[in-house]
Amino acid sequence: MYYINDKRLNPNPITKFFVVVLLGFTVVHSINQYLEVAVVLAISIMYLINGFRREAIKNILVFGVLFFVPSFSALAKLPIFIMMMLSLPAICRMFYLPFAAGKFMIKTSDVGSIISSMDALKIPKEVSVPIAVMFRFFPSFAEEKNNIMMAMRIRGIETKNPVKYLEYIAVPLLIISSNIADDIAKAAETKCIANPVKKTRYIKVKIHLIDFIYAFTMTIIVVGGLICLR
Amino acid sequence: MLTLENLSLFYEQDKKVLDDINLIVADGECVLLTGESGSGKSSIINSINGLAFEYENAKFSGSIKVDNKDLKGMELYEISLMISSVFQNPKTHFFNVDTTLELLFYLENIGLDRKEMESRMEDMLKIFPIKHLLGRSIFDLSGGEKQILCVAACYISGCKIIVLDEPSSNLDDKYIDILKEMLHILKNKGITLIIAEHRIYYLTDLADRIILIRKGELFKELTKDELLNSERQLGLRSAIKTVLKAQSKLFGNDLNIKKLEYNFKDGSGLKIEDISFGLGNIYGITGKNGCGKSTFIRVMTGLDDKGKSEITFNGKILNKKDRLKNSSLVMQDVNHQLFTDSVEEEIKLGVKDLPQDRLDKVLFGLELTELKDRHPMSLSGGQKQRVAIASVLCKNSRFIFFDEPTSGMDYKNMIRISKLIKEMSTKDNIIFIVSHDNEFLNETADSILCLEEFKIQESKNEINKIIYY
Repeated sequence: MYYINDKRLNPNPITKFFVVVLLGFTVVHSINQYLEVAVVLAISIMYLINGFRREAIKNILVFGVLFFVPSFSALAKLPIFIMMMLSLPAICRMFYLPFAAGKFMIKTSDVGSIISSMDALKIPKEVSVPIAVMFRFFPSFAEEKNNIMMAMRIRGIETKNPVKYLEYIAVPLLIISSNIADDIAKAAETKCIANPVKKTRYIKVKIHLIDFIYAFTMTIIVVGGLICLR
Repeated sequence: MLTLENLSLFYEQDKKVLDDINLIVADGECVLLTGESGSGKSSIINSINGLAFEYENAKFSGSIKVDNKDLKGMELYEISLMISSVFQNPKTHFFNVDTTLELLFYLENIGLDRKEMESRMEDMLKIFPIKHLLGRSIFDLSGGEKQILCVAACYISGCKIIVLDEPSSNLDDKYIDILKEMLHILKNKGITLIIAEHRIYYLTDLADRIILIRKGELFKELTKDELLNSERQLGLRSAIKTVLKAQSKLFGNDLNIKKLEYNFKDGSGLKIEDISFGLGNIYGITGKNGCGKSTFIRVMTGLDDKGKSEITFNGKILNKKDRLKNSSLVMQDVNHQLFTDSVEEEIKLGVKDLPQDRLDKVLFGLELTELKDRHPMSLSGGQKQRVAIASVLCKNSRFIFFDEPTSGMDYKNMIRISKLIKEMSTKDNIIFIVSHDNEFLNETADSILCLEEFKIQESKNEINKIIYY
């Protein structure tokens, strides 16, 4: 076995995807707010045991702020001005749980295990390859985005006007995104990703104890929360 | 055997980039294709590995054959089963984030079983001692380490032909030496190598044939002597290794780094104390890949939030905000720093009250006058770089930074940028150039600061030399 980081504490992508879908239900049927806290804490713990300390803290802090945003029903009773101000944060709050789980999935899954798990689910190549490329795109994109932000700061572009800001950042971001996508696709194609033979995988997608723990904890919280509300 | 017969390559209808190329490369041969930028060397490489047709919409006439199999109409994966590629910029050409998985990725795709994968890996590790690069994230590797990994991946794939497109353009001296050794090993294993390069010194011993490409044609086959005597006339980089000239220590007294400290993730760090720089000078900043050159720029320009720094200018402390205000930066990838929809707007951006005559003068000086209404992103790489330089000139900053301005540049363009930088230097500014291009630094810099001297504790994961078989 060659120097591949031990992934015993990292659930496989299928489990992570299951949790994202599960938490998606909380958007339509909100659960008790203390259970929401439990979900966020669980995700932070998952980050922590996988060595993403910063993400763990960020996750809690962001939710800590969103926690105090009133829900839509409470918002409706407030004056129109405050309602307008708070409606965007309220939407963020609504989508935060599936978003956090999705982010955890993207941050901690590598392309190899994503392809392997999609193979395990018998997902056709036409679907699985683009999804894998998409996942690979995020880290490169983050790296390039930082460079663009640096360039903006040194050029003195700190416009307060968000429309103008978006306009400035859009041009390099689009060009660079298309370059990254091309490069990743080239890398994949010159490594025979489109080869129609039956592929082998060095890392088998296995189910570890952590998959059960992660999936069960989330299921209990969400299902429990939904039942309690009734 | 690889055969190119009457190969002509077109982009769009009438833009001919290769004209009637005839070339036979025997098994195990090493062919060096050289020539100025835009001569068509990379186009030959991209025709052989098929990328020109798939990604750049090029059309071709003639034929490309490997062992009498015509590549015409083949899918990219079919070509890739015979031919491996190493690209100019290793930064983006990885599919996996984990290095081990990247090495194994090709083997997975051709359906090898696990046992065979392990034996190939073992075989590769026997000839390339790169164990320390396994199991790491590609985002933590230096440019040199990535390029080594690319070459190792080509070997592990078992392809008998490897094409390399300017593989050294982002590497420092040490990694060029390692690359050279690796290529020697590959050649001794009987692998055919086709290399496009204008930095040729490290290949003169290796290449069996050296072919000069000019305006899309195979212009001439050169002997080593011809190459050693006339590289300048041919527009090529030096054919022998360039050593940095010992320069006088022109450490004036205007900008003073009292303290600059930065800790890297791998436990090493950068610590600079009491160094001064003088106005009107051009300083070259060197050091091997990964020694902290980019970090130095980020701290000096005030873009960095992590390091500790105490920097003064004429006795007054410059905090990060002051530094940010007084600095300009031309980045290695200029695509990051072009924001608007015309060259003129681009240059005006971020500069308050720029007089029109000053703008016109800068545009004229950089041959941009005719391009001033074009969208910056529609320009060529060299033109984009000149737009970035123009905006720096108009900002009139006191401290100007260049990050690897000549990576992948041929001799003519390198001299051109060197001249430009020297013209930019005035009594009111200090120019810093981060570069590992010794030829360029000898041409341009007044004084050199080598950052390796300030590194505390070598990084543990170092590769030093590959044993030559």
